[in-house]
Amino acid sequence: MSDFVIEARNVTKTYELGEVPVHVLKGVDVQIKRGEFVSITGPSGSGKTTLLDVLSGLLRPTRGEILIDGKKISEMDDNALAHVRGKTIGFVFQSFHLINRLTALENVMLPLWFQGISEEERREIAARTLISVGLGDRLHHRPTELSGGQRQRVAIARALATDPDVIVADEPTGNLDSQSGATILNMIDELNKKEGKTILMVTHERYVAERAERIIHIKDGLIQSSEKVRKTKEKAKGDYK
Amino acid sequence: MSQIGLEVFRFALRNLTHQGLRSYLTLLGVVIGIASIVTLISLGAGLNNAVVKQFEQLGSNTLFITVGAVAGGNQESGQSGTNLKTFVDADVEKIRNLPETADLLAPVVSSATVEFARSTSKVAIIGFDPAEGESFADSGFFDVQEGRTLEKGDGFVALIGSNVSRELFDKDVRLRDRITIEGRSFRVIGITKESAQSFGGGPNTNDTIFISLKAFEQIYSNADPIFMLVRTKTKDDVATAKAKVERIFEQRYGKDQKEVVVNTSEQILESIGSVLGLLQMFLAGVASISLLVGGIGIMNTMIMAVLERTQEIGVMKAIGATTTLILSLFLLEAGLIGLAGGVIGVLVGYGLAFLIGAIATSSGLALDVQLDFLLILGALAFSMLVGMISGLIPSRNAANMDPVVALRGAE
Repeated sequence: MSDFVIEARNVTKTYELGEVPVHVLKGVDVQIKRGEFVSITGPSGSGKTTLLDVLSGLLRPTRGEILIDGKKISEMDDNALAHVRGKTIGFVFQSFHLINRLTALENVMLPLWFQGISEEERREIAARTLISVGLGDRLHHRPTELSGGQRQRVAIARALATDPDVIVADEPTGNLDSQSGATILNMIDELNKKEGKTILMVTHERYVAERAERIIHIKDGLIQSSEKVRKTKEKAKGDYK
Repeated sequence: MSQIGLEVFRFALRNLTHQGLRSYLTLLGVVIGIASIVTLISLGAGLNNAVVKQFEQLGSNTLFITVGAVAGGNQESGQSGTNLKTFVDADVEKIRNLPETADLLAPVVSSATVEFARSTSKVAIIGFDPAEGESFADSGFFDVQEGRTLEKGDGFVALIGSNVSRELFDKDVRLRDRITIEGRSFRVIGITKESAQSFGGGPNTNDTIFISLKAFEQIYSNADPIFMLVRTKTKDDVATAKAKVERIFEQRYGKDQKEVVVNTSEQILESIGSVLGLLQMFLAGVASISLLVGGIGIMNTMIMAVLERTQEIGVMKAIGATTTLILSLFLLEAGLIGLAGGVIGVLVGYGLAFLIGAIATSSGLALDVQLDFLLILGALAFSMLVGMISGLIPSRNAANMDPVVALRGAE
């Protein structure tokens, strides 16, 4: 098994906007160690979300290579990539992206279905996971019947259901009030510390980024710095705002 | 795999029930298309069944000889010297004496004013020789419900159709009642079974009064037949007998005569079959147009569904749904819309077919509509196929959607 759960080698991503090519990533190398908590920050339009998409196998790079669990994604077809993504990576999005006509339980069962797990087992795992994020009493509620913080917890449960190595979070607190945001950040923190999940999180806010062990700063499609966060005791406690 | 298949099915079904009014409206085109197909095919088959049954009763060794205009109004033919042709006695005798002829029935037809219980009605009267009728007893024309059929030596007695008995007069006509036909009193000796048999293309037996040829000749001076049934000794004699009969009429009316038509049961079945075939082809055309419209409706619904669920497709792909799964999910959803339309269409179609069948039979046109499970299965499979074909393009769009575009586009 490779030391790095995700690796980007000289990755570029170019979009053709009409006649004009837009170089969003201009050759980046990133290595994410197993069990690491990494934040990606940068100003708007810096390419941080594109980097996250590329690293998580949602987007294929224009040039360069992405390795997930040591396997080159360029050698996988879309179906194989979807399978690897579903197995290795759990996604948490800024706007939750839950399916509104399904209950919380059914939303969490969905990725397990894609992995070919039997319905009985899916139901059991999904219920257990929702209980672990504190939503044991909300299993049969639909997303529209839940608060923002609760929805994000359903999304986290969905990301955790397949027991992936990596949790990818894109501005996970962006749509939440400060209290709910703090709860979600603590939850992500715990997933890293207690369960050893690798966390890859995009945020534009410094104090959120500092919850990580390492911050990758990106600007104009190039990595500006990759710094270890020196943690004081206060920071480690999680003083969200 | 079948486990996954079942779950894709359930998920698709669930998506469908959430689509609401729009998917139900979409069904309409498919419902109309499938309903017309089912109605048409089952009515066609029903007509065919009835005709085949009727001709089978007559047997395949039967010749049908008609004068040219028999299908036209023959109401007053017997009495007034209209230019409608009838058979000449000498020709009838020649045919009767052919070595191939086993039995011959040459009924005479007219319309008469009939009185009963101080009410009058115009009724079709058929006169035939009871001796001849006996040999055609198995044809089903004279099956009786009550009483008996005409017998040799019968005088002014009548076998009446079931409708004549029940519907034509103020009072029901019963066995042993006396009715007056053109001023002559007849005793009712039998009532026919209700059937949809038409007597050689003439009036329906339910609406007819049968009397003996002898009595007929007493009422009408001119009692020449306009229709003949000839049964040959064996099935192999049919062709020879047909040729000989045609020669007899050629001698009378000249070569290429069109006054008399000689048909075999098979010929009649074939010609009915080809007319039915044409009718069904035309109606199938109508059905395909409505199915095309239905298909376009499904396509439209699916395009809307894919657009509305862009974000959902993005999420599903992000969290591990394969392109194949998304494709089959949307294809199945489209197929299920089609299938739902098909189920309703089959119900409506058979409802209509049975209704039309009942109306037609009660008004004298034989229609024997029956449930055909092959047709039902075929219609359902076809409706699902129409749905899936219509859903192909939108489903492919959904399956090939870039997860990032689908996700970020919705943010």
